[in-house]
Amino acid sequence: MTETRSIGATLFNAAVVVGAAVAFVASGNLPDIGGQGSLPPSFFPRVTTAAIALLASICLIRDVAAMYRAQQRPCFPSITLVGVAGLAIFAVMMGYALLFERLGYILSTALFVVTSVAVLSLLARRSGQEKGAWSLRRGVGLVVLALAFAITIFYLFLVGFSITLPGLPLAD
Amino acid sequence: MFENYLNGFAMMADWGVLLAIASGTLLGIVVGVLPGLTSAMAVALLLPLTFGMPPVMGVGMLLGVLCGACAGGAIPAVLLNIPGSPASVATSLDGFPMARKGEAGRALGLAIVSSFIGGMVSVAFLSLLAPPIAEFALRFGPAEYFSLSIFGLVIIASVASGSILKGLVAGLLGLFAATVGMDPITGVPRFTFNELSLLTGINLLPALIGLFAVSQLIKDAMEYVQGQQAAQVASNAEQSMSRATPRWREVFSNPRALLAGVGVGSIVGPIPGAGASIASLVSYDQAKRLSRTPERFGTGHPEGIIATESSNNSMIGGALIPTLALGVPGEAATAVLLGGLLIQGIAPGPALFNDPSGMIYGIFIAYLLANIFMLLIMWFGIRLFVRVLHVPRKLLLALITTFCFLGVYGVAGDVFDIWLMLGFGFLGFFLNRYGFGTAPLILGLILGPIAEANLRRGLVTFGGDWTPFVTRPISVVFLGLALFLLLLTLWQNHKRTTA
Repeated sequence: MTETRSIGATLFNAAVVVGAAVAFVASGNLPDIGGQGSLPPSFFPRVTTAAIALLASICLIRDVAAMYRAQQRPCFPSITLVGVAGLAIFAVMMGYALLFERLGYILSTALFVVTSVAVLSLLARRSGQEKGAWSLRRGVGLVVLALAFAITIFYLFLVGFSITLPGLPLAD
Repeated sequence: MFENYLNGFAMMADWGVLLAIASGTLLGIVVGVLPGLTSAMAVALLLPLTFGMPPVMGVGMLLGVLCGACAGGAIPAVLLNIPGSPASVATSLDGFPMARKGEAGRALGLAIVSSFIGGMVSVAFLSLLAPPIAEFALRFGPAEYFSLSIFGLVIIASVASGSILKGLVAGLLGLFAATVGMDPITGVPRFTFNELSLLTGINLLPALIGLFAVSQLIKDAMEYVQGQQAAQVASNAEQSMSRATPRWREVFSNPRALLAGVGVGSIVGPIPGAGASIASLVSYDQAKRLSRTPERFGTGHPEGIIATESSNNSMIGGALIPTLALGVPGEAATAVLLGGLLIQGIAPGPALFNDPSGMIYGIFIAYLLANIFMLLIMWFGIRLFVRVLHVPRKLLLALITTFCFLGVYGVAGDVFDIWLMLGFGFLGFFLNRYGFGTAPLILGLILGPIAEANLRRGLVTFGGDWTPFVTRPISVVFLGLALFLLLLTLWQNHKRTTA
């Protein structure tokens, strides 16, 4: 056993099996109303979750069997810079969702644009994909652009589509 | 019949409708130009904007996106050797060599005309074939609709992911997600966790945007850091575009390539799951076989561009046939479009074709106009689209993400939808990463209520007897086809792994 193989796919398959099993059990708590040839509300969720658990188990077994056939040593997915980028951008998105109503559309959007561009820039520099020095001028330009974009979209939606987005926090 | 089409044209006699179709086409081209952004993602992103629009206007806009994205993919394929969409994979084989010879304008001129002709043929194909299929579907009852849903799910599971087992898991996840909310027959809440927003079920829009846009954005961000999409705007993009005008004469002087393109595209289009990439590759191969100068293919031969670009646009109409006539899409972009139609309150299937307002003919005409707008916008805006390639990728990703949030929040003003979108985006990212695919999940979510309601209604109608589901002729054909496809794909997978 010399080669290693990430068990990311195996873990995902296992998570699907466990999730389906939990949902199958939870389906059993649904009231058993039916009659007149009709099926109870739990029928469809039970059938689908049982099928998911069964098929995902087959995927899981095949995955593990392939690993053993190829004599590969299982290892946890390594944390690479690219993986960090995926997690970081998702975390920034979650932050945006948290602040969307609290800070209002304009501020939260401008903050999101600046943060996500900065995070991607930083990581791309670490990986050597982006070069050149940081400059205050570029930073200020980005903030101005992000604010201008957010304000334009806010008023476009308000006037053009009659959709009111969360305003500034002080305005509430 | 003729009156129906005239009525369809009358529906278009509104500046708002024309502007919506034109802007949809424009957005589609921009998305097509940018590698990594898919037409499914563009349709999903545009859905919230179409909410307040009359149905014909909204659907016309979405059709414009499909049409524009397919044609726009030729621009980076020719200039950068990077297909903007899977449909343009084969275009780069001759487009890029032609651009390297300093004839990028000529290559794009050929691509514009070929895409337009392919699109117009597909409009004719769609309007001729869809109505009789929809008429046939009038014979469907609960058993047939249930079987059709199963058939549709098996089709997309077998083609939209690396393995049919994984595709089925994704499809079943969609079917399960569709059970969230109040039970359609008894009204019992299922898996709502006392969350009021879930009582009406999982909202299709956050699911669509999450699965097709957010998951893609996470992947794009990772690829950006990896350098796969870093500023690849090579000097080719700076080439003179002065000759990028439609080349009608040159296209028509290569009738074999044109026929191979539109022929293959029209045949492949309605085949579920075949997709534009297969259509363009097969047409490229056929054009090479039919050509008097096959040795010139791959060196910047106009026939290669004509065949592939006419083929990928001509397959769109074909792909719309099962989507509109039966409500069963064959691939991701039409699955998202189907979701869009449902959100608009349009139920694809025979009822749509018998709608007294003649909506379906409006849709046909809207698609025809989208092709005309595609020609005009590509013709006059080609220099502008080349510039889109210069927008910093990281900024573009951030701005597109804000549109996802805006679209999902703007419809109901509920921040819960944003969290739902992020949840689906996270799930979609892993589904794609591990070969499950997201298209089966969304189709499961769409077909779930149809399958469940028809199964349960059917059982009530048949007094609890299951046999009509497997004895009624049309139902048994759908189930038989699903089983055949399932076994065929399993056998093919087995052959591939043992080879």
